[in-house]
Amino acid sequence: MISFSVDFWYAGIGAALIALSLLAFLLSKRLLKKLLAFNIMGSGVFLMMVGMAQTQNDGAADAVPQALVLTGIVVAVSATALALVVIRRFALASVVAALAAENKAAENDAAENDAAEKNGAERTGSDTAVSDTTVTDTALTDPNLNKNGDPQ
Amino acid sequence: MIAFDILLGLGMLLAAAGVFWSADLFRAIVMFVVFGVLLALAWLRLQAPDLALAEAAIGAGLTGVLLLDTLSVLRAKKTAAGKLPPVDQQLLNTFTSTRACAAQNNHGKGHENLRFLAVGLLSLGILIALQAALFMRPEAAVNLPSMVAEGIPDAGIEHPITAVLLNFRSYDTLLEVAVLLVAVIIGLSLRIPSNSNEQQAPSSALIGARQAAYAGVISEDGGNDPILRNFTQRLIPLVLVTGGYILWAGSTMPGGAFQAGALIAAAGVIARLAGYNIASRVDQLLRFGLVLGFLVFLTVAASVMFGGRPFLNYPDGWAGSLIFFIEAMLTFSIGLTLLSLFVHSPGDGAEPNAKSSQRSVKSGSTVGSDNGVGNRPPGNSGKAEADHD
Amino acid sequence: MMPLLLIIPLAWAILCILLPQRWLSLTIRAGLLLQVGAALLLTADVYVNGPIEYALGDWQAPLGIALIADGVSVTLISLSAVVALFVAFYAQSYLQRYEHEQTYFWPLFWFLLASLNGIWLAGDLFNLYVGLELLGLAAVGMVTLTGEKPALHAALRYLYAALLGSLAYLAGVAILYGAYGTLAIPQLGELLDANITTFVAIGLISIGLLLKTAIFPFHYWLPPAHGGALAPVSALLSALVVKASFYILARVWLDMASEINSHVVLYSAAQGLGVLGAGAILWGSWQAYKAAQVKMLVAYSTVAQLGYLMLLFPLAIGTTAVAAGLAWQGAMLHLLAHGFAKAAMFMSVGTLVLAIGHGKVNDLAGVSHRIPISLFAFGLSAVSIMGLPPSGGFNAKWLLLQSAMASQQWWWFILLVVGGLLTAAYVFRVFRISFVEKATHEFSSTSSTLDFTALALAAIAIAMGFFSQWPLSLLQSSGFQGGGL
Repeated sequence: MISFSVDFWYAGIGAALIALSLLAFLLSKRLLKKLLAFNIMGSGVFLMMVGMAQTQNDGAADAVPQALVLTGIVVAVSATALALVVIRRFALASVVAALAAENKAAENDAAENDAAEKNGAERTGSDTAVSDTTVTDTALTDPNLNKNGDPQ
Repeated sequence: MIAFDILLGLGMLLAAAGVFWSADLFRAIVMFVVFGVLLALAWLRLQAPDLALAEAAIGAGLTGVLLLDTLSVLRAKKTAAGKLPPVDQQLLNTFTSTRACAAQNNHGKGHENLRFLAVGLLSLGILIALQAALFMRPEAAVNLPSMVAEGIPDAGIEHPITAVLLNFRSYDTLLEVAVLLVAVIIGLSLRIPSNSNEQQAPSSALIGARQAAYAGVISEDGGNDPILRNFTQRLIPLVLVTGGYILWAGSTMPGGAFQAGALIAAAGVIARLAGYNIASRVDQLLRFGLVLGFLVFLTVAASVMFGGRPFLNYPDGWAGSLIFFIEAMLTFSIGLTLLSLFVHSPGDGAEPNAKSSQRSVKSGSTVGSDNGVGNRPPGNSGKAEADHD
Repeated sequence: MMPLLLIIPLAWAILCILLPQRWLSLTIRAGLLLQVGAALLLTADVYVNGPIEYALGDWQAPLGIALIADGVSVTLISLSAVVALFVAFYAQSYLQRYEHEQTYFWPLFWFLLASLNGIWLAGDLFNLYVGLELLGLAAVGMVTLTGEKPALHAALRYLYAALLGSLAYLAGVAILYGAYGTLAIPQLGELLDANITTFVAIGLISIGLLLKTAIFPFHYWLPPAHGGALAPVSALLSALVVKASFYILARVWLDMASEINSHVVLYSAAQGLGVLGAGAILWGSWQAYKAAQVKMLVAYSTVAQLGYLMLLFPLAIGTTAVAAGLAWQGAMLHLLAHGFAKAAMFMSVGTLVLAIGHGKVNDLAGVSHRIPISLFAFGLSAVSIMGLPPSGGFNAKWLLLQSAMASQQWWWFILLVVGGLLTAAYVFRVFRISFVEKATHEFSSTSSTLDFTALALAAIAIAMGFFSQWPLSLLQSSGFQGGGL
């Protein structure tokens, strides 16, 4: 049963959208762009799901894949929102890090200031300069914590 | 009509290409919303009005708002951070792919081209494979739509999609609501409270900083703009009533908890943009609201087991009313969840904003250490920004 | 009994969101015990009565969704219940110094468990998609808990890989539904036909799951995420989370597609999966040997150990029934032993890191005097990971070796031997340094709960060397190819 139908056409468009957004996802270096690509790829998968299923149903609506796609849309928006939250927090951490470094440079003269805190920033800062994969259990390098051992 | 379908399909591809090829992220997001509208039309052509509604409200609408909001916050941060050193820019450029990182740092341009070629071939291969799968598909041996039609009289609900979502495959929906809940829990865990007491809403100063990010969308003191307030006061009840209608309609025609929930969230977003401080909730109450829908769903699904029925079954004759009750609670919680993901996102003005360099540095440090998020040294690592253009 | 394994973790997730902090400790312990009890009862039921199917909402598949408990699923349910029990006790002690993280760890912990149980029991392809997403988002959330920049960086990588993986999986599921009109796995198993549409669908599903299981060369996201998270989180991620997507992969290839998987296309692809496993073993072990941070060493060890699981496919597909049965038993035993041992390893290493204040391998000197129990736990788990007797890891590798011989695929035999030597190399690197007498560091004291929970899990991994016939006899009641031996 291979003939042109609305369902078949949109399933094909869905496949093209998947390929196109895969290209964008893998080539783009920007996090938000990748997220957009993820969303469009999802839409492509959803189109394939409904379109392909309905070609099997003589072009009549099939409630099951439509319900699955509704679930999929909600899952996709959850994932997108989560990604955005993490991106925002990451950006904030970056800005704070940048400003702290600036601060350290500015206050280098005033030696009596808060030595412990500065050491903390310096130590962890140099860790990541080496490599982005040398992730330590970062809270443990925290000078404010754990000086007196176990809290128990 | 075939001409319309062809145009619409190609239009979707063009819009998607527009998203990927715009250098400017703002334009890319606008193109993404355009894509969403076209997709909603395509769903109508595929006889899926529920999906058209969901795509317009959630897929394009809410996702678009979330993306634009994040973009404005990121841009505000970028100005705050000033110039970034080159090493970290590279780190960030090649963010999600170590192979890309290696390619860029070590081998330069030639390998970059190789990567383009490899990814291009991969995408082409996927395209061919998908189309082949589509063209060569066998005739389906199982006819699920007819089983759905047979099951509808016992499902307690007339609209087949709602019947699938909340009766035949209600287990999927239960887990799906859990997914939403997980997302909002993480959102809450990553928010930056304004002071050490987490239960307090962001202070007005933070809201002010946040609104500055909206310059161009609303006036800087949008909260006091009488015209905007007046307009919002009329718009919000309208949106809420529409949401209620969509929820009610879901039992017999397109509509349901998720679309209605998205509308409720939209009302909240509008109110928020107009400067209403709807975030000032007691934390405990907020949590209760967020889990209410899931709690009711799980309780109903599990309590029938005391009567010897299987999990997620509805007692005879009760299915319709129980489903409506669950949907109503879900609508409320989904609306609140989506709204919380918007309102409680981290970085809402918590970054040091437009102060003298020395002062802002100080406040930058306190964000890291004195806010109850934990006692951390300021700035744990290098400096970079999540997304720069 | 089956729905209880979903209801308990979901209900406890809600409780952990709503209840005030001071009631949480006892509530969580009660939930854990209930969970273990339910898991054991279900296991006993399946052991006595064979596989059970449960129609959710009383709607029979394919219209509704069925839960299926067979020997394999109950084994994995018991694994996750027991690992979760000890990790949770560890976490209750470990997280006392992380007040903020604690609030959000527990709801995510229970959602993670619910999704794991959902995946072990699932009988429906789309339901597995939702389960995978729940698992993935909860896992990413756990990595972000500290809000530290490196952790967020790792979490974003993890999230993007997970999202791409689940879309590939979903695309495959969409094609299968479009071609056969059903999502129920047992029904698809009867209907599947060796044609292009099926191959494309299985290919997409496999790529997505390989990405989520972090099989070489898709492993890039795993080490920073597992190495950068809090110790109890790392334990859960390495011991359980990556196994879920492997389990689905095995279900798809050896259960759902068992009728057609000796077709030349799938047979060659199965050999390809074995090659990826070989790459994982060699590359992961080498990276573990080079790692500067001890947690990264353990994380790369996970990359390598996941490679052994992939040997299941070339050893069980297109070979004799005897070889397939041995491969199947070996892979399952490896999964169990690695689950216990790796959780113990991350927990003991977490304690060591707490005590010396940071995680450089070269600064572990003196550990043997100051924190002997945790080091002992590390040592026991390392015995199992290396595959030395007596341990679950040894029995698993022995079965895999026998399977390679039975199917005359000597190249996998060589790989297994080389892999064992490489593992020994990176493990002994830790031992050599930790038994240096002179401590270069100050040590802070740690709670004994941390020591003994890790020790208990490591002891289980060793004990499996003596009692491996228990899980193996359970495996016989499953729909898997070769599982009936």
